[in-house]
Amino acid sequence: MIAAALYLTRRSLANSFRNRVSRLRQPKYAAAFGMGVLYLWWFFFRPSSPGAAVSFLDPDARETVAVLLAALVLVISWTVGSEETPFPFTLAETQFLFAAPLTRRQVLLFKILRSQAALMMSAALSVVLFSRGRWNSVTLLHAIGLWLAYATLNLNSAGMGLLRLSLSQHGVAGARRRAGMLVVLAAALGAAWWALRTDLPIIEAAFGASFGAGVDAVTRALHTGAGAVLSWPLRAMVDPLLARTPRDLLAALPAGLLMLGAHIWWVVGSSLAFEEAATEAAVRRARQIDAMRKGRGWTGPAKGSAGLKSSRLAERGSIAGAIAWKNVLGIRREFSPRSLVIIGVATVAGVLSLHGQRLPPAEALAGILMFTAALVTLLGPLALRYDLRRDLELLDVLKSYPVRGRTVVQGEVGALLLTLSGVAGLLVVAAFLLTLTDPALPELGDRAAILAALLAGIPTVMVVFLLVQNASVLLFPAWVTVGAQRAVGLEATGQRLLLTLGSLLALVIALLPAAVVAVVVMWGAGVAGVGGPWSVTAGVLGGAAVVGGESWIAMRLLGGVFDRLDPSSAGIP
Amino acid sequence: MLRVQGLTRLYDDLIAVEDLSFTVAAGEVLGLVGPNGAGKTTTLKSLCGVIRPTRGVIEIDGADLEREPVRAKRQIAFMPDEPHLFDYLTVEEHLRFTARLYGVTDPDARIPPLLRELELADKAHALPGELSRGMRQKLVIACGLIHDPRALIFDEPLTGLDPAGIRRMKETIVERARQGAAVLLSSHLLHLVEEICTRVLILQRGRMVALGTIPEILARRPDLQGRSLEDIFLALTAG
Repeated sequence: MIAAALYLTRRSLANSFRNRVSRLRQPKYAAAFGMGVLYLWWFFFRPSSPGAAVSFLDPDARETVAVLLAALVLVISWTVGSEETPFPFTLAETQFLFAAPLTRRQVLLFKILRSQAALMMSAALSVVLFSRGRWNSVTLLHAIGLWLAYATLNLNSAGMGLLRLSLSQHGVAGARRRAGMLVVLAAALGAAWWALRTDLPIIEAAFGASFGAGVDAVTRALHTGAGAVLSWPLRAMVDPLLARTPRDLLAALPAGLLMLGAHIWWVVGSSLAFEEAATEAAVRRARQIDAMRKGRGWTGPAKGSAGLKSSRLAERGSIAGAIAWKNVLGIRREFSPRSLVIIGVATVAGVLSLHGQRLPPAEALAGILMFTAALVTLLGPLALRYDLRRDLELLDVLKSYPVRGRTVVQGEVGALLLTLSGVAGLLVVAAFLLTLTDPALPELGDRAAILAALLAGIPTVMVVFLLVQNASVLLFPAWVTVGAQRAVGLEATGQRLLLTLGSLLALVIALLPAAVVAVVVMWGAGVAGVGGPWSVTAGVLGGAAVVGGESWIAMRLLGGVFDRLDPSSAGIP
Repeated sequence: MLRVQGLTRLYDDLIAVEDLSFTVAAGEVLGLVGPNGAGKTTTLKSLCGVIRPTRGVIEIDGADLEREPVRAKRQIAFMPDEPHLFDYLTVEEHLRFTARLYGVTDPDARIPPLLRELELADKAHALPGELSRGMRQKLVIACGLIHDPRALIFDEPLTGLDPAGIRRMKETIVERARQGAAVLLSSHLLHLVEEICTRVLILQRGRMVALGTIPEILARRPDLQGRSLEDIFLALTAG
């Protein structure tokens, strides 16, 4: 079994390497590879200041932080872990392994061994990334320690997955299963509270004095009495990662390996019939990967369409509107209740943290909303891909419709523009309303002017972002790779860098005339006696008008490109 | 109804289709057959405007596909062999979306019978990810039929269908032709072509090697008299 797993890993790596090398014969990959090498050199080997790696925490405090982080990861995994099967088998694996004369334990062992190569690679890359080219013996120690932590956490997650699957096979799934997990977690937290009850007042008082004192108090609690017993598994997991010398590592390894071994025993010892669920998940995953490779990235909710809400498409109206409607449905369906809960929790946590800095709750919430609006404006067009980036694979379907290319582009860009602008605009308006009576802020009239400028500016910036993204899809379709299975390697990194640089350049070119007009309008408004924030609003409106004109022209040009685009010649599968 | 004149498509130095000319009249089912790589899919994709021919003219119900693409495409429906669907739209939403694109003003009246005809009624609110390959294929066909196209192009329409689905699909194709649609059907299932097509076009290496009814083709090859379409196909595409 071990030999088979090693053979598969070795041949997969060798064939993948050979494939990448052969791709370099094509100029576009060779150029991208050169760019990738330059980037790596710049990132890892450029001169850096020797004092850049100063640690702000002493070794004990580092251990405490690592223990708390590991605990957080475990709690998240236990409570909101995926309903998917524990091991992501590929379709090929289900076909070969499940039909082979192997026991379930052998199959699981095979999968665990196979996953170690990826975990080792992740650990090595993480260490290289964080060490920023400062190579020494500690780098290797960190890589070993990180691999051990990754492997143990990964197995813990797999074990919990098996447990969830077992519960599900016994009819305990969904909300009931989650409720059960929460009860268990609450019991564990209760036990932890009981064990640390004498330390808690001391910890609270220490945090009241300073953050460092608080961490020290937690450290002491985790190393004495019941706290030491409860935290031992976590410390055993993270201590190899924190080793600074080979002796430290040797001292920490036995406990770390014991934890790893216990997890392997737990997972491999399972006699659960996971094959059917794993095969279903593999089929689903294969569809998702296929969709991602082809530029879509999402294949619908894993648990089916029950409860999907639809908004009815009017029987008459513009074609671009219909395309936008289609994409808006996709955007809505991407946000599961779970993601909304996470966003809500993050917002509340943000408000609480700002409240801790003595900001009134309304002001803190307004700050969070403004920050979120900025994120939506700047990152939303890059993160959400419900436009031509996603529909690229369906180019032949789109092209068969009785529609002009410019209409398609308008619809594709319009969905994200309307949705993201709407969300960002609502956030800004909400922040404005929350601080309506705040005496510490500028006058209401001035704030209204800033609000108007933001409401005009948000879609202006966003449309440029979206047009640049969609233009890159239409102009360089073979270079656009998306989804979890996106191309990897130096040439892929270089390709993305070149595309990003090109996009930035296009962005600057598009916004430059608007900026010039905005400044001229602001000046004119000032001359006309419209001063202060209202002149800014006038300037933004002037700039928005310019971008509007540019966008109209760009959509017509891109529509022409769409009409001429040939899926087979453009390298679209 | 469907007129193709001198269709040629080059991929760099490769000739995918060369100087192909044929017509499909209203009510006719033309079978397009040929070995792998003969140029069938290129021909079909050119006819529905997905790829542009290097040379040649394609007219659909009198509209030139190059000069009047929107008017021409309104009259046609292309059902590809691989069902490409929007993963985040349900079955019914696909039909509503397609109806709007093709200017169908009464989707509420058309969708239910179409779903029943293609046995998708109980899957109306399912996403493509929940459908079998055959059901996805049926959905693509339903989308193609919702606007009552004058010309229908099928690429391997029976792939993934169960025996009942195959029978129903054959009936659907024949019924649409009977109602006056021009049907072009590409398939490797020669018995299907023999059963429902009124004429056959055989392609090899991008060139037409035969066009006509089976008796007409046999008339040009007396040595193949009494043979099946499979034998005719193998004889004409050998070498």
